[in-house]
Amino acid sequence: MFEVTSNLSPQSERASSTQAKRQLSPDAEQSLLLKFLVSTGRATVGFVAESGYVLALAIESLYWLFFGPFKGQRVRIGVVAAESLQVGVRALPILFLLSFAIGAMLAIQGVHTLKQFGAETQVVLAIALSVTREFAPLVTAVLVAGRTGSALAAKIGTMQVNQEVDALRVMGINPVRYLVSPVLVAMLLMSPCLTFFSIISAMFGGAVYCNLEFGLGYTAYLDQSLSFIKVDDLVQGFAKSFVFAVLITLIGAANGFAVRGGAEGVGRYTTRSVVLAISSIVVADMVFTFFLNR
Amino acid sequence: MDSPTPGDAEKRSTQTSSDVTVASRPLAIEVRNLVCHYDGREVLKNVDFAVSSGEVMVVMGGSGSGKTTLLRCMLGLKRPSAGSVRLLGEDVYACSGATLQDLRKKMGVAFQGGALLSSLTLAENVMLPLEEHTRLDRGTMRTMARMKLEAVDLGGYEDLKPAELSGGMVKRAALARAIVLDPPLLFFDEPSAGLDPVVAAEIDALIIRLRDALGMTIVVVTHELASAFKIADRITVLDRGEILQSDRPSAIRESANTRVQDLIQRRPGRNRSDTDAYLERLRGSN
Repeated sequence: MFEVTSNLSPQSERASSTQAKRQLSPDAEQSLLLKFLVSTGRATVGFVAESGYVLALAIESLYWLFFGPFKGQRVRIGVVAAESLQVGVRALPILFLLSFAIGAMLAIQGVHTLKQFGAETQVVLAIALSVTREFAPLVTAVLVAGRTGSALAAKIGTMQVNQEVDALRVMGINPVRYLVSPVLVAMLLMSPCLTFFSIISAMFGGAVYCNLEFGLGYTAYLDQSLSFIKVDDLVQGFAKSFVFAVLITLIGAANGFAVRGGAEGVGRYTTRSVVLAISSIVVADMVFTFFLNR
Repeated sequence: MDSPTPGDAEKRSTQTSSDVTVASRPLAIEVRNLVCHYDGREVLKNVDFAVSSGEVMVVMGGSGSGKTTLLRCMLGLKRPSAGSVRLLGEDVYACSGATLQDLRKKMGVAFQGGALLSSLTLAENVMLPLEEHTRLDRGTMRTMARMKLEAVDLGGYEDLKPAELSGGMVKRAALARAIVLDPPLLFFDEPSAGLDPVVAAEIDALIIRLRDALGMTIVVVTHELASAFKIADRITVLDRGEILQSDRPSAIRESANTRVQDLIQRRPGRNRSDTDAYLERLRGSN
């Protein structure tokens, strides 16, 4: 037996090691490139496979929604109502708080910026349009992704771990029809309603600040806002809310069904569903805004 | 110590089950040359057996022997790599969706952990198959659910949620849900595992009662020896994905197969020799 000793100081060892890394042989460089290509390829294949699964989930959910009644497997209205209550009504207090704060924040920033041009009263226009087209659907979607998307992923994931999804299958109950379709319907019904509520709350937040800052009356604020907002602006906001609702539901469900490995897996996939849902909402919003405002 | 591998002698012993009454009945379950892989690993190797109508078949084996995978294949939850599973004459993996759906109505399953839906009460859990597959009114369904819960000694607990019950009660409720449609086929995954002896004995008695009173064909996957020998008409011993022996309990008890005896006598047996070989390999590699 023998020991290898080094007379080099730790700093010299680090320096020589760094140098060695810099002077990679062509084989090693090729190997690194190969590793990079393999990992990129795997990630791409994973992304395509997951996108395909989400699309298949969307088609299956809609299939059961429209054709389920003809096959004796309808989506139950009672479950949709219960989900709507959970998705919509119970989200109202926190949505009001967030939207009110955003409306007030936009007013504060707008007044501060427009004051330099002596046009602070134009803040009403800025708030009305930005809230209707952009902020209300976005804030609503982020909130719903945090509440409902994560809850859906955790619920389905836990059911997967506890064999409840298997139990549904062997009872002849399609898990997508039983677990996903009702939530999708509830989300499609509730998202526009929540977005509308968010618009009102944010405009109220702006109105309160404008009233305190330069004494603009609430009725005058409302009149001005309504004169600025066109039907197209509302349609744009509601259209976004529909798309976001579909994304949140499908990403939550897909991650729930993907859960493996007990409680740790449930936690991991729930977090993943929230991150993916919010990321996809922001990207979809950008794409939407680009095409609708050209 | 030579531990026999499943060879011709054992295959012959598989085919010697001689309960004439049971053998004369039609086959309710046929598993033919089933091969199943998980992540490239062969978990079931040419598993082949049949269960006659009205028979209680216990699939017995140690942990990791492939029992649960076999059950999942039989239930249509895990597509095998090769082979076939026929339930009541229908090939589970080759029949149409509608046929499979009909087949699902004719089978009840009680999973190891119960697998009751945690968001529903016991009564709602038991009523679920009725709501999905029948057009009965809600009052009738509730009455039927109450009757099934009473049959498993859970009368009066209808409005409780699964989280409010003990493990034994959850298992019994899962059994009530499994039998609510009076299916001809019943599957149990470890029905008495983790239960106290009294509750385990109650479940065993209930299984026998279901066979005798309703003529159900029952497959029980378990590693509880006492329970297996008490309820089984026939026992299939599974080890490392292979059937070691499939026969009447008395024949299994007197089996010449060392691995079967290791299992029923609770001897470390072959596992011990594997550990020794592993340690030997480690020593050799130094």
